[in-house]
Amino acid sequence: MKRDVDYMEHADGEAETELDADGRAKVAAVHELGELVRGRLERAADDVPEARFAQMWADIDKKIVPIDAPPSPSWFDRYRGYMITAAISAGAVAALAIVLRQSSAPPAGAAGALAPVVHRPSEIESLDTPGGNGTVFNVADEDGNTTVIWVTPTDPTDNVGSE
Amino acid sequence: MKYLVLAALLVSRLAVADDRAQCSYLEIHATAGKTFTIDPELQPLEKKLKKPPLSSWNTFHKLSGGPLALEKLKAEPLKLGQGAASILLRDRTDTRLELTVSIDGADGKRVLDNKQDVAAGDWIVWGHNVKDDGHILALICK
Repeated sequence: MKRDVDYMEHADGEAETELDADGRAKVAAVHELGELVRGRLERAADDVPEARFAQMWADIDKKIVPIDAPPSPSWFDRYRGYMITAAISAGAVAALAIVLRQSSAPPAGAAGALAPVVHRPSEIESLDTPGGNGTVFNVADEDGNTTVIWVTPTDPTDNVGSE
Repeated sequence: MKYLVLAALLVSRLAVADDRAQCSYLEIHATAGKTFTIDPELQPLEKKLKKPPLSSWNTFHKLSGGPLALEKLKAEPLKLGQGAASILLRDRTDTRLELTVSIDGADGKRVLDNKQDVAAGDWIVWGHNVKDDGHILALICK
């Protein structure tokens, strides 16, 4: 006695069953029913709009976890070479300025090594000469201007600051 | 990074230098003699000593002198051969210095108080009569 499940397994190719007339009819009916279901599903798939597929793939892409990329270098890392070069240049200029400044300073005990510079003469802001009269001279020569302040005693018989 | 620190230190060193002045002074005794005579150390002032009012004398001897380091707003006393003096750097730029100078005679009396805005690298001269002679203080700063 054959059961319907035996015919279904035969129709699906899962088991070999000797079919009688009733069995062949049932197997044929199962095949037909399968064709109908596959056709219905294919029609349903064709009915899904293209845009929905695109949306589905976009959702899938979002859910895919990307492989961690190495972090991009910072601004300082990218321009470190330029910054070091600039800092070295600035240091060199500053060192040169110091060297030149020190080389132009007066040597100890050598007043004669100081070269006068020609520019605006001195300005007397205040002059107080107790016991004498102050006179301001401007002595000009090729070395520049020299301001000379000379104090003469108020009383010609006296001498300013003398012992 | 260490280069940046080095550069900052150098720049700060330059900034500090603006509060100082390197000076040199000469104290001179001027007398009238037969011929023009000047001590070798006074050679930088020779041309000026031959012009009025300093040309009233023709013999110049150095009494004292040397370098003088000034710090801003710090009066530097000068022990002179005849009397004393005090130099104060009030302010400065690269080309100008504001100085306050006081000079006392050998008797301790104040000869002069003077404030000047002077050019860096120019000589400044103060002098007064001592009997028939002259007493001169010359200063140059950078």
